[in-house]
Amino acid sequence: MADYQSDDKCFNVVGSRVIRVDAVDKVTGRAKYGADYNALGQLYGVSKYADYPHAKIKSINIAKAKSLDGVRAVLTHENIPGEKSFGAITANQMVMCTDTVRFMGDVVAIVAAESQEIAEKAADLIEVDYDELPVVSDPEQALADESPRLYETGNLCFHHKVRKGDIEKGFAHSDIVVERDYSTQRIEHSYLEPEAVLAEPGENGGITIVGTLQNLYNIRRVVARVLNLPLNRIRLIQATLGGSFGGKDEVMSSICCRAALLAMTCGRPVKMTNSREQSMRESYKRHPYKMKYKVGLSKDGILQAMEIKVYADAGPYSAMSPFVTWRSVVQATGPYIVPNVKTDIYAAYTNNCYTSAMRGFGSPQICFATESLMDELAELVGLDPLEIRLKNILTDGSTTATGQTLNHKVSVGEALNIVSKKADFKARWQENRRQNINQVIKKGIGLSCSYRGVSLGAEGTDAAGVGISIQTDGSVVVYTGLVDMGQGAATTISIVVAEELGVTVDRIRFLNADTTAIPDSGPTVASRTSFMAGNAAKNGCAELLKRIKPVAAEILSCPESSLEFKDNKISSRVTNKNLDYGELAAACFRKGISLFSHGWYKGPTTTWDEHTGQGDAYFTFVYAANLAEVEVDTVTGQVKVTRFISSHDLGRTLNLNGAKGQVYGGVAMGLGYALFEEYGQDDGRPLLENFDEYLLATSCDVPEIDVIFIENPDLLGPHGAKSLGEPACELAAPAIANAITNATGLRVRELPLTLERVLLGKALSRKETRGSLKARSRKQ
Amino acid sequence: MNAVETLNPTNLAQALKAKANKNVVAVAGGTDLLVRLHDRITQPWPKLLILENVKELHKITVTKTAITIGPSMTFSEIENSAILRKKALQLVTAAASAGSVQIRNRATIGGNIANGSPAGDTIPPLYVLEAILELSSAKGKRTVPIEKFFTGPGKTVLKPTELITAIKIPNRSNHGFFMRLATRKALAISKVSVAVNIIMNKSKVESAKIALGAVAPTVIRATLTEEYLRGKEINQAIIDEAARIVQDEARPIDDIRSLAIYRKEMVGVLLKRGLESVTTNG
Amino acid sequence: MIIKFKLNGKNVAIEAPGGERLIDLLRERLNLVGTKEGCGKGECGACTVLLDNKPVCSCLILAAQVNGRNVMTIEGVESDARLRAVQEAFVEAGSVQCGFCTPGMILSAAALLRANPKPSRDEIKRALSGNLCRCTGYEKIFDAVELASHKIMKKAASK
Repeated sequence: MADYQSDDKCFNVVGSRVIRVDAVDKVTGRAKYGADYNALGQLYGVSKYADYPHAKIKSINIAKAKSLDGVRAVLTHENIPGEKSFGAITANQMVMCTDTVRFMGDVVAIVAAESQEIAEKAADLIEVDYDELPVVSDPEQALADESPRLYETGNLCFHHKVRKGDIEKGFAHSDIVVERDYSTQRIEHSYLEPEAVLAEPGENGGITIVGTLQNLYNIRRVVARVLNLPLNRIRLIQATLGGSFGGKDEVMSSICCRAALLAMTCGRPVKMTNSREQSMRESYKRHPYKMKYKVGLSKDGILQAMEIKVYADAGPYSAMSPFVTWRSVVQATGPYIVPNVKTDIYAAYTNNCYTSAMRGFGSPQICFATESLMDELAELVGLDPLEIRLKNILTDGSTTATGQTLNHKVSVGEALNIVSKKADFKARWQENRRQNINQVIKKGIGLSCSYRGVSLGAEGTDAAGVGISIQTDGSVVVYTGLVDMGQGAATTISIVVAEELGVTVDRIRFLNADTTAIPDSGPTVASRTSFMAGNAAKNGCAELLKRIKPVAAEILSCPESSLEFKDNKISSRVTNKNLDYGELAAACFRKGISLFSHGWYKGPTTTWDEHTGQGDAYFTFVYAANLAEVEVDTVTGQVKVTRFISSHDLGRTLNLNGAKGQVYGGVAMGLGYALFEEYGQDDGRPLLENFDEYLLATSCDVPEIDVIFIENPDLLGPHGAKSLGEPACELAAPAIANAITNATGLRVRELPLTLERVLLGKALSRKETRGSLKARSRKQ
Repeated sequence: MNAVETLNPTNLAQALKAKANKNVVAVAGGTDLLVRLHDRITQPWPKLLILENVKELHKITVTKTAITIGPSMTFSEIENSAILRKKALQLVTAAASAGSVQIRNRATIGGNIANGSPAGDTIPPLYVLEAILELSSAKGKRTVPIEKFFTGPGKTVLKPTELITAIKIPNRSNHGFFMRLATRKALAISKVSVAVNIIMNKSKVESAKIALGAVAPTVIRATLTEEYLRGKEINQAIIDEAARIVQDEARPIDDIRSLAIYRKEMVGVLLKRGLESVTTNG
Repeated sequence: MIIKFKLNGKNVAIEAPGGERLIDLLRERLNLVGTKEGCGKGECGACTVLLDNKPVCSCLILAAQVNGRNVMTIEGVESDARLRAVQEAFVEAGSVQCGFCTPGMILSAAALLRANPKPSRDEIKRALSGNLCRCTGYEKIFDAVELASHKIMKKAASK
């Protein structure tokens, strides 16, 4: 059950338990996902992947594949009419490789055939002759002068910096200066639904693609450039999404281009569905980070200076790496006051699987480092983990590492105190250390906390639109360019509309995104949907109310100010009459009043100076604290998470059910990051390809989770709401790591905290050991 | 879809007759075969023999001296068998911890043996229960002790014309256990597993059988440790020494599931924990 | 061969090519797309169907193997009052997020409740451990199974 720390503003729909708008379709199997779409006469598309992580392509021979019975097209980069590569900042991601393959998920050719089996057989028959090139697999070594290069310009993808104060002075003023290195692994989004699209050539020489699409407008731009078509000829429709977590963006751009090329070439619909193996091979991952922290603090535990160097593994393509690492550079010091900061984050090209957006977006890595670090510092100065955090924590009016003054309620200390109090943290933390001696199963408790910029920040223009159409029976259709990928946006936006218009959520129909129906609303990322679409929806509703209120006042013969819109009825506080919403809508329609509005919202301004790394990076922040309790079997290294508390200031809870679901799911994902998950690669070759070896938390692995929401309504958010989806998953790993250290007295600075790492400690979990993992023979 | 001829016999004689054609691939539950097909380790078969409806293969029979387990018995059925719970707890524990409910509802013990997968959790228990396999063909049958059945990873003495038709274990109580370690609590493949079967004669060990899973290319018996325990009265010092010896008998490797050094140590830990629980439980 | 089996309460007779998986028969030829494929090798449970009331992975079973048996997919759940209670509970408890695991999860839960109408939370966890979910952290799914159990017990008591 979620507890509340909140003011007591009254709402009709907001914050109440609302049945998800898509729940019935999903429990009956009626919801249509990407792979559930078929078209008459469709062909099946299959990709031919690279055989090496880094190689020159000498030749591609498609003759045998083409002559196979049932094959309708075999295409290579030569058949691309427009641009051959794409990317938000640097357009280096190849739809199909021209002369070089740079990771095992690269595609060299595509096939369309009458059946999936024939298409696969044909892909196997494509002969590619390669010259192997040296493989770059470590992001730090990639930047050394002597490293082999992926590109003539070198292996640096992006460099961000933050400069604040004078770190030399800071270190000079410190009583203690320590250096600690942390690292995190490459993980897979593991949306349960693999990628799938159906591309149909349409009238007007255009194409319609329906499928597993997270960011339709980004994808549409890419397809337009690759196919050399105007945007309005390309229609993308989002199927019900079986999870995304940031993962169905660039990989979908690439797949959409391939399916569209095949469909246009053959003049027939083409369906492309990835198996889990194909999905894991070509879809991007979360960045592995190597993080080096040098910290100065006074002997009473006050932070004086931080010098931070981070190497992020971008894989071969830029994708969202510049944005992901930008969030990291802004948040690299954690939610603490640090007067002197020098942070450098380098994203480097390697021949590993490319990396891009994933829920958390550059913060889970940083949180693991800063929150492990704070516990280590506490130990050094003889404080407990809560004390050292509270001594340094950001509060109202504090200035961040990027020089931004926080002019809103800063509740990270409040969140820390709430979770600590709930679990009696201070006493338990001490008690564990005393009582664990001589125990085989040792108990531990650990804390973590964070601050997180809401929405895109200075990454880019931040605006979104929502279309609202009241039907003449009083039901409402809502659609937006932002998508529900399972997180519940459809319900949350419906709640905002319901609250504003005074209808019940069951009268609202939320349509999946369709690029031809609504203007570009930017991507569904950065936990921005509630905030941006929520505000846009509010604006749209306000516009509608302005138009329909006079009609209602006229019918009810009362002043507009006395009208109340609630539960599908309009009543007047001065007369006793009321009016059904449908009657009002019909009356408006008869009068020729438009019942459609398009709400638009542009986010507040942010600033950034890329030379100094100073600026108001985000228009507001959210705050959170997590607490984990564990039992560690010190003979086997097995960790059992026994309890979890997650507290978040989300501004305002719009959708209580959805919000809790986000936290439960975020914690489970964070727990997997902490203990199980790793997309291992050896010299660029994946070590696994399916869920038998990529381990997600099962129902038996999750602990009881307490969720405590704090509500400090934000001035700018819709009804004060901010964001939640990503913060929910960024703090579990460090809380668990800190709890393990509380239990064992040993500190593991690398994720995941496998049995082997927990038991054998740092010495044996170094790269040499990992590198000795044998590359298994892989199927093609 | 490739043309596949499907044979669906309802009795053993029909099944064996069909299997006389060595190109016929037999499928019991299918949980291994379909994974191998998915992974393209196996090519689509020309002729398929479905064993599902052969009643003779799907039962447990008990005599005074032996329990005969039909190879089509699923892991779920083994998990819930009262007689096996009493006489073959190792096997029951292993079956209950394998895969998921869905897998256990389909995976059969015969399939697990026939496929010779090193991760097959039911194999170490069958080693220590000294299971005898009955292999039949249209021409007749022969029996092979389970240890002689496996010749290498995924390799067995089963001829293309043969089927496993029975798995016999002694009908005898034992002090035994099966223990394993895995990363997750469910849907997990063992990093290492240990199965033990101890027959006591008053307070002394009359015989101890120990099999180790996932620490060598195939399941192995820890014969030195077994020898060490024979005739001993079990106490903490003996357990500790046995745990030390068994570590030396393990020959694990580094792979994606674990590290050799870890596996070696854990073989000792699991044996120690198991023996301790056996002694405290009498 | 022509296979005959009961699918969602109705008799079906259909030619099944020998190598065809049950999931492909359901999705590609019978248009029952509520059964989802997440991994193709029995590791995620999204393709769970009930075979003679027991949950199995339809990706690891040949169509030919269900000859003469009883198969229930998510599409058949609504017509069974007892099973419908599980669906209702998933809606009411807010257990659905992306929904891709939901059909399999509901069938696993339904099979559990048939065998054990009042399961403990540990029994629920174990029964659902072959169904992966990436969105919900499972918490509300456990709540739904408990709610469904409550509904079923109440219904049984009122009879």
